[in-house]
Amino acid sequence: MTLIKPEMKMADVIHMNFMLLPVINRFDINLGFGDKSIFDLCLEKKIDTDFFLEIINTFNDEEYFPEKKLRTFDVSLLLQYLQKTHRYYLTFQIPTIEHLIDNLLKSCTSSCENLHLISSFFGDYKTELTKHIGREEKTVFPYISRVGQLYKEKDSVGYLALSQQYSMKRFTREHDNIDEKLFDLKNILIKYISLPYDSNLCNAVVFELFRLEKDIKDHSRIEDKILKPVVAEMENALKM
Amino acid sequence: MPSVKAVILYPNYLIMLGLKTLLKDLFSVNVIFASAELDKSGEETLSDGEFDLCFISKEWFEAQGKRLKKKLTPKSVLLIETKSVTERTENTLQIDLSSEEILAAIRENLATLSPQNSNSSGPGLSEREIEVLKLVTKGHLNKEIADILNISIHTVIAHRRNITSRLGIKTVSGLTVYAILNGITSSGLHR
Repeated sequence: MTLIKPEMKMADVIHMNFMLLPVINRFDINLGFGDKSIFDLCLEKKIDTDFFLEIINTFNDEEYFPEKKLRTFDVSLLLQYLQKTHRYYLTFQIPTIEHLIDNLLKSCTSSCENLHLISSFFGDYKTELTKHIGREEKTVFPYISRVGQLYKEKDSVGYLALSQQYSMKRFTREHDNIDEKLFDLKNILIKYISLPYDSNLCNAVVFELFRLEKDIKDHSRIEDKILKPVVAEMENALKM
Repeated sequence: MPSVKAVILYPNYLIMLGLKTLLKDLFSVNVIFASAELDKSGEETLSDGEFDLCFISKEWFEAQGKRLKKKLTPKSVLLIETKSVTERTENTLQIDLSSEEILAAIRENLATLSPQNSNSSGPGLSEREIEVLKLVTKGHLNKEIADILNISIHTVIAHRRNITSRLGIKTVSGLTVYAILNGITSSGLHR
């Protein structure tokens, strides 16, 4: 797997892996790059180039292990990025799949119970994902951002009070696996739906599920490999 | 998608032929045997059981007696009812239904065929695994399943692991969808 470097042209990077498009969108970088390099674009958009590179390299290559370098970043950058990813799921990817399933239901003329089953299963998944994201944004992210602040101020006393309410250990314990249901739904469609529905629409649903699953896996990898160790390290430093 | 193998046995030649065409053209069903006479070859096809779904007239099915009924699972037979009946039963196809209704009934019955029946490669779930799956979808915990089936909790866990690896489905809600799709937990069809 090629390591993405600052001097590379953004257009070449997208030619190499077009799945990175929604990822760079989260940094406000959109199509029409011309011949600009990653470095140029980051400068233009006032993005921390190293941070940007770590994120897209983590997405691009599952084996890429960023931790060390990323520890030097401001944790608020990471939180901002993760929140943008959440928005992307809830306002774009989930509605896209819902829309496709709706179309499938509309094209079904009779005996559509199986599709209703699929549709309600996806509805359940949406509820689960929304709750999961809500919990992270209401409890976990504010905690992390406060830890980041206390770390900057070297305020161990403040941390002592905060640590009574929450900790990264608790987050790790409560952080549930959000991609299992998605995996099941994909597999049910691939292996067990055998009625003559519109194949192109069915394929589109499966494609989108694959995409969402991959994106969520990459997202979880960033949480596990970057967010958790960074915060745990700050917590340790703040402990008296 | 492997196509469903079907057999048609019905005393009226035109109806038999019509059903055959319908299944082939609209549902891509592989009709391996169709006849308007219940002769030796028809009986042989039935006892071979090399099909997923058998469309047979109710009278003929009754006439075949216990020998045949034992071999066929309720899922694999669709009785064709010649007389008008007010109450529709699960695995019966009425001859006087409207086009819309008859297509829906066939589609429903094809849908309840479990993949192990329509897919010759790879074994399906064992009887015991199906029992465990049913209890899982009813929301029972491993401990409760162990008590109900009178087996150890370790055996239950082993069964669940097998079910998950065989089906590729991990969550309880996913397993429930699978069970409904395959008629394992739908009302009148399970054993």
